[in-house]
Amino acid sequence: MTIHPDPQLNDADLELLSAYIDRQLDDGERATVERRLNDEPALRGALEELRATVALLRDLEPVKPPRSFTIAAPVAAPRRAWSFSWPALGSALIAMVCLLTFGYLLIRSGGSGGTTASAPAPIQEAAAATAAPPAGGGAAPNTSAMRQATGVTAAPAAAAPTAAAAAEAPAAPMAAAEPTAAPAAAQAPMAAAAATVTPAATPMPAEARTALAETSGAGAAADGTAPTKAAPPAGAALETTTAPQPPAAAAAATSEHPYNATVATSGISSPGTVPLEQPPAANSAPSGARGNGALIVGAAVALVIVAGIVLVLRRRGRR
Amino acid sequence: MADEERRLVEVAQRGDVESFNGLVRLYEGRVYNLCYRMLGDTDSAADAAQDAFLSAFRNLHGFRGGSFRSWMLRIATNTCYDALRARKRRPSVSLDVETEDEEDSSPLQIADTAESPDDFALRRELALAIQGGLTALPDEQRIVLILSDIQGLAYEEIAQITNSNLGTVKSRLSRGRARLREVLKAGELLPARYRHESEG
Repeated sequence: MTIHPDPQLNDADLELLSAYIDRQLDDGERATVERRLNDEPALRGALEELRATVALLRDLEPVKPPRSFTIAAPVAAPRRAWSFSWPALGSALIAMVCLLTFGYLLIRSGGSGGTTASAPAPIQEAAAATAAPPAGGGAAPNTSAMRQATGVTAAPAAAAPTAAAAAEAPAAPMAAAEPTAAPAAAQAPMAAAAATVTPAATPMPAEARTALAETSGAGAAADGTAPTKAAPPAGAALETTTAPQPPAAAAAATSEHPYNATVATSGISSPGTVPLEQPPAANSAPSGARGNGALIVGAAVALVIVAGIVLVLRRRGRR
Repeated sequence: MADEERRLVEVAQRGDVESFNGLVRLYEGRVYNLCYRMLGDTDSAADAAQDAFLSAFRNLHGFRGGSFRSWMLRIATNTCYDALRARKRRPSVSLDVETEDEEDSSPLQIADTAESPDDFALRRELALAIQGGLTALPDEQRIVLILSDIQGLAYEEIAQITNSNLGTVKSRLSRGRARLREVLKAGELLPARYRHESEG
């Protein structure tokens, strides 16, 4: 069946006729069309054919649906938010407990072994320093957290093992150890500022918590704002690296024994330097690798659990 | 009627299936016919209509007032487009076309007992030819033709349903009508007086 469009009529004419049939033309257009219809038989013929076509379509009988399309309640049901069933909630709860337990174990292992996974940003640690007092109830934690943020440790006599463990974390250099790097210098003041201003809104990182627990015996009343008077000489004098100490490090290097403070050089500067109060960093590499492995496994387990929950919920949602 | 429809929509939006089924009963004939004219066979049309109502129920919270009919027909139109796209991706033979000669396959039924078998056969042939002509149209022209000339909707509502502007609707409608006219003329299915007139 081949179709031969009417050669006399263009698209504009056809559109005009179509609109004329539907009475969609204004008075002027209608008058023009009617004048042309009187003068042009081809146009008149096309109009009649189009009218017949439209009439045929309008006369088509409605087709009766073969069935009703009403929907059953179970098929339609859950589209409401938070309409989870007890099994779904239970599995979600179990998954959360698993995640929390695993996270706790991960933190524990990371805190004792000198994890590399935590403390990616100095700002968080410094903020956690202020978060510590209300959580721990003591004043000393400020110091240890500050030490982590700035890479400066307190006197070995006060809290030597834990300070060493905290300073061992290679993440700390990101705050202040890179002596020549401008970003580090720029971040350090932010860390210090956060230490004094930011309230306990930021979650407490792992090191802060472990350091808090282990150094609570120090009993030092270190205030986040106090260091400014004692720290500059301490930070400047005790810095063993060649680079200038960022201001935040100097400001945060504080304790009740400011002059006992030393720089954990292995934690904050180049690999060639060695911390004064701890053995060479031979132990830190394996523990860091262990931490990384545990973190990857933990992330994989968490991912699988979350994917399982999502699948279960989606499947239930479809039903 | 409009108030009742609005009430049904409001209650259905709160998750009441029975109220939504009230809306389904109001529009299932119109939706099914749209799907049938778009897709050309009864099974696909029934599937598309069912999918459209399910989709409408699931997305009822997104209905922000206005004409429920337009909203529903828009969903049905989109469902048909989806079915047509799927059909193009995975071509299959329509059973309705294969069994055109079987009486059971025709969606038409004898209108009343007064209709003679000859009249029924003619009417059926014409209906099949029209459906064939519709199927030969591009999808965009076909939907406008269905909404305008079969469903009797105004240009504005058609523009709303097809998510286009008035100019596009007018253009598609005129092209679709012109093309269908040619199909019917070629099949000598236009009433004789029009054919003679145009020939003369």
